[in-house]
Amino acid sequence: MPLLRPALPYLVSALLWALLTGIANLVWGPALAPSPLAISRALASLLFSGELLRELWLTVYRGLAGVLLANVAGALLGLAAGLAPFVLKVTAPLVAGLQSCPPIVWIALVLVWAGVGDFVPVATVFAATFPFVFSNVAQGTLGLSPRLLAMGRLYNVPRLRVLRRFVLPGILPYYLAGLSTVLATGWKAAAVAEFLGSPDGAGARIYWSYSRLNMEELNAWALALIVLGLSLEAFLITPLRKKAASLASRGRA
Amino acid sequence: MTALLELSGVRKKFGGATVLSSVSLKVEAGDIWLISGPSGLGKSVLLEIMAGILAATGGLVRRAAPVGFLFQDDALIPWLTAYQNLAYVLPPSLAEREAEDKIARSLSFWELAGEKYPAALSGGARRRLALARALILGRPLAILDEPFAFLDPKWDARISSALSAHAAQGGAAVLSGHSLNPILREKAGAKLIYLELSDSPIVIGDLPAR
Repeated sequence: MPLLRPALPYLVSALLWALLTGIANLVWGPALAPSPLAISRALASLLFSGELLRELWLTVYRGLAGVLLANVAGALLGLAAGLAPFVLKVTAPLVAGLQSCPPIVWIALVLVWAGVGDFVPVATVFAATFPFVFSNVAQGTLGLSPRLLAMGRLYNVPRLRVLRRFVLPGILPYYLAGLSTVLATGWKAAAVAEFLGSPDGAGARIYWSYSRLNMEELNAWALALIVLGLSLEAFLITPLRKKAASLASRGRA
Repeated sequence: MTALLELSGVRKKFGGATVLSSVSLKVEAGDIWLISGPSGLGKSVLLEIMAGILAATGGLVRRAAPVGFLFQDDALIPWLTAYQNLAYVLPPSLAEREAEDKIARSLSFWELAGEKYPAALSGGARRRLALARALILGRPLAILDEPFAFLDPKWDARISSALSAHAAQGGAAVLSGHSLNPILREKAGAKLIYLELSDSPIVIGDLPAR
């Protein structure tokens, strides 16, 4: 039974989900709370028609595109700001404000500016994740020892070597920690943006199921998104966090 | 004699506090200076101004040669190994083979394991790595902040011999310490200029007879 041990928590959780949905089905009836079997059938039909993967991929793709753009802009500007502490100090409240700004604000603004479409989720994810990358990279840059920079100047170490050997490795753990956070939030922001302002993607499909009161499909999409979230967490975000933590403790044996 | 380093009327203030009020001195090729005095007097500030790491508030600093510097806090890069910490300061013009040889010789002289990260080294080994980096380029002006601190007495003789050889080849060294190191006095002989400071802010004007 070596396979059962790691699978057991998932099995128990799935059974608990089936039990709770089953009870809800008995209490409220199939129109409001479809049975676990009906939900599974809806999920299977979405899967076999190819819709499920296509729409999920759209959501993930938009989330990643926004995260990627936010990473490029956030890393470059964060590096520049970290090297000029004064700039960082005077923009700190703005960055903190942007960080605590809920994505719904961006969605509304982008809907007004650009109308419905692909651009809404990508721009929303960008706006929601940029401040995190920016402030993490800026903090990492600020944390670099000025004495070690002075040491490099004293020995005329070439700029490129200072960047490759000192600055970038010094920032890397902060950057990876930020990246794991924005990957976790990015695709969720994309799904919300799709719900409100896009004709396709998993978020949009939840909107359609909701507006047509198709509860089987609504539950199936919810289930699919949960599985997607768990997979991203297990295969991407957790390994990134571990990498960031091991890099941060490097040289502090 | 050529002056490798000349300070005249150098002052340094941090906010309202004056650390150096007037420092004038001339370090010539072949000199070994030992500047001693209690902690907190400003010896490190003086050495960092000599090396150009800190800027003076007033006065003139003239360096005629490049500097190898030992930082009081080692200033090693934590995510580079001992080997990489040394390679970091070597000029890119140096051939790869030559660089490898230079680093290998330095590591063996200071009895260091090249693959270890600074945090995995003992306090003494970290100090030796910092010394190795300060001296690996053979820059004529060696300015070393507390080179004898944190090290076993057996290293006193090796550092003193290395500095004495450095001075004999036309270099100069400026060191700080808490007292006159007897082994250094013996190895350096007539080249040693000993300066004992006791008052703050630091004033250096009339130099002891050479």
